[in-house]
Amino acid sequence: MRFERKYAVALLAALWAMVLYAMYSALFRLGPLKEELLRFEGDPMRHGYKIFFFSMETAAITYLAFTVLLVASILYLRSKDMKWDVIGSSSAKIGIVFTTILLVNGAIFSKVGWGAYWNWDPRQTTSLMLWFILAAYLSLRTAIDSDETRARLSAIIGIFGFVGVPLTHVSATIWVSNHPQLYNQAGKAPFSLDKAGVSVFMMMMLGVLVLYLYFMWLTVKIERLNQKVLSGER
Amino acid sequence: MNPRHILAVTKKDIKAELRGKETLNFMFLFSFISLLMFNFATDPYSPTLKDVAPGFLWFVFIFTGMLGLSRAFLKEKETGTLEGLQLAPLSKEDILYAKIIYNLLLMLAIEAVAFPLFIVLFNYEIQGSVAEALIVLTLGNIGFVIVGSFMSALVMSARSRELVLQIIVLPLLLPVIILTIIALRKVMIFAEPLLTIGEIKLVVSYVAIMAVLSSLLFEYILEE
Amino acid sequence: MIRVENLTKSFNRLTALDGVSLHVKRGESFALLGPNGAGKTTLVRILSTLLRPTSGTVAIDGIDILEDPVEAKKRIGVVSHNPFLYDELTALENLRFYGELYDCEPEITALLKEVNLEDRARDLVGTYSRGMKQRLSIARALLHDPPILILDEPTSGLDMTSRKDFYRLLQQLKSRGKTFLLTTHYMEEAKELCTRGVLLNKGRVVSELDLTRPEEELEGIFAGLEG
Repeated sequence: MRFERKYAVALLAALWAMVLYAMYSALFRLGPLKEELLRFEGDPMRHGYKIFFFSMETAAITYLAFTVLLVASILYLRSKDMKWDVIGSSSAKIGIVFTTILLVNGAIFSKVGWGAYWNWDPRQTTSLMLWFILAAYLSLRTAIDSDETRARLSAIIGIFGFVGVPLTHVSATIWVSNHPQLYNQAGKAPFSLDKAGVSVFMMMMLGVLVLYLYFMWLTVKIERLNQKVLSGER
Repeated sequence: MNPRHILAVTKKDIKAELRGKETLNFMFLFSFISLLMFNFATDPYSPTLKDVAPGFLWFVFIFTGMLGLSRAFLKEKETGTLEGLQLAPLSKEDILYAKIIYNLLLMLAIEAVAFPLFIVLFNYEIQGSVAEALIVLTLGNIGFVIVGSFMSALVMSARSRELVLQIIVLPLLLPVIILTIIALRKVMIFAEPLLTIGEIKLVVSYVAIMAVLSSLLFEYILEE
Repeated sequence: MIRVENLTKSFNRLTALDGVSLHVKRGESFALLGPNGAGKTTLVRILSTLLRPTSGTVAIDGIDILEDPVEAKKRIGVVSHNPFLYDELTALENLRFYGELYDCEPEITALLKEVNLEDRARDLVGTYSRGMKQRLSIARALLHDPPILILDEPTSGLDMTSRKDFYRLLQQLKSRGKTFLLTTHYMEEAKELCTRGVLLNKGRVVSELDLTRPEEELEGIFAGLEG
């Protein structure tokens, strides 16, 4: 047990070092945006584009959290196994943290790129919708006393709520949006990362993913202990 | 799905409502008073009024609808007749469909009175076609009523369900609400016809997804 | 007619029914007795397809209620302490409405006559007394002429005279060959209407009862349970 823990701590420390290095690289080592991509002279996006490294990762984890919630909800309704409820609700709890970070990121990006923290861009709006859905999911859970009913009803919301994910994803294309897109209509990336950019991106992605998994593991464990205490088991 | 069963339940609800008129009266008074409040809060000669008024109108409808929604299933649950319906050999989804139709009719009845009232109070002249405005409104209503009826059944066994209902319904309907407001504004401000076709398409597809999910998942709400 | 095999139902970690088996023959009147919380209501709710069992099977007239709940529902009529009626509708409208749900053309006037409500047929049910509502509830349960009647504490909250009326009505139905399943916590009621039954306690069948035996003997079994 001790032994395992030592390794886990070492691994986490290494990961953190890597993420910190990636963050440092993203902010200070990567160059500015190519001249031909700037919209006008003195475009704040010259360096402002770097927030992409932060918001893209958080968005990916938000989607992941929703997907885990969706799958766990479906599995709960089919099997009525409380395990899936624990996994689903844990993913929602972590998801709301990441969605909050995503919204903050989005607001900073919006201020730099468009001049206002909040301008009801479709991407912003739909990300906010995701946040509200998770908040609704979590508040519904506090309003129901019976474990079984809570699990069943919140699983239904978990499935409904997933609709927001594809909507957020396509929102920038189907609505008029100023949000930069990964792919334009010809399927080509309007801006591409150089080698250094890609490695920074991958490092941060890995770091955030492990962070999600670590949070999941912790939350599920706490929830299990909670249930044990409540049911009087030893 | 059995149309005869759906119709029977809707007919029963309408008949009972027309006898007591509890919900209808409340909804009407609420929409009237909130329209007045909004009207009072704005300057009738302000040039921006034309821009924000369609949003007001839609919010009045949404919050009025919310009042009606929370009653439809709750009343059957409180009087125990929901069990009576479940004992009968009709599929559970048919109960939902019947409530959706009933709620839609309630909302349309309110709007038939509130919409002209809005035109008068805000001294509003619709620039585009009135028919298009009505189509946009009705579509928004259908979306609202589908998600709302489903969720009002879902929150039946929760504490402070009226609050929870709003917290759940509004985010899920955010796309419908926003698109309807955009479309409504377009119809009311611009004279050009069929300007809203893009929004209409999006609302229809979003609502279709919600409708499919609702009918697939409804049995899990009533199951114990 | 009703066959229950090894039925178990648990809510969260609470077991409401624990391996209950029973068999009710055609035309028989069967009583489910037991104190509050014994699992009677849970059992009845499962039988009337309102609740899904955790495990075990229930067959009604040879039909598995989990496989074909709609067919099973057509074979049972339920009279509960809640009449399942709409106060804002008249007796006639209530019966017509339920008739449409059961896809049948019931003889509503004859039914109303049978439960002795024909002269109040056009009055709102909200104006009815508790006893009248319960009688109308029987008419409601008989709309589709089911072979089985499930009676879930049907007389709770009724006064002595209404109760007597109610029993008379049920005796008539019994003579027409309906199968009864009655839950109650009154021994007199079980003796009045049924010949056989079981005693439930804490989700289990404690003993089989022959309700034709003298009351004192049966009370003894009941008393043994409380202690």
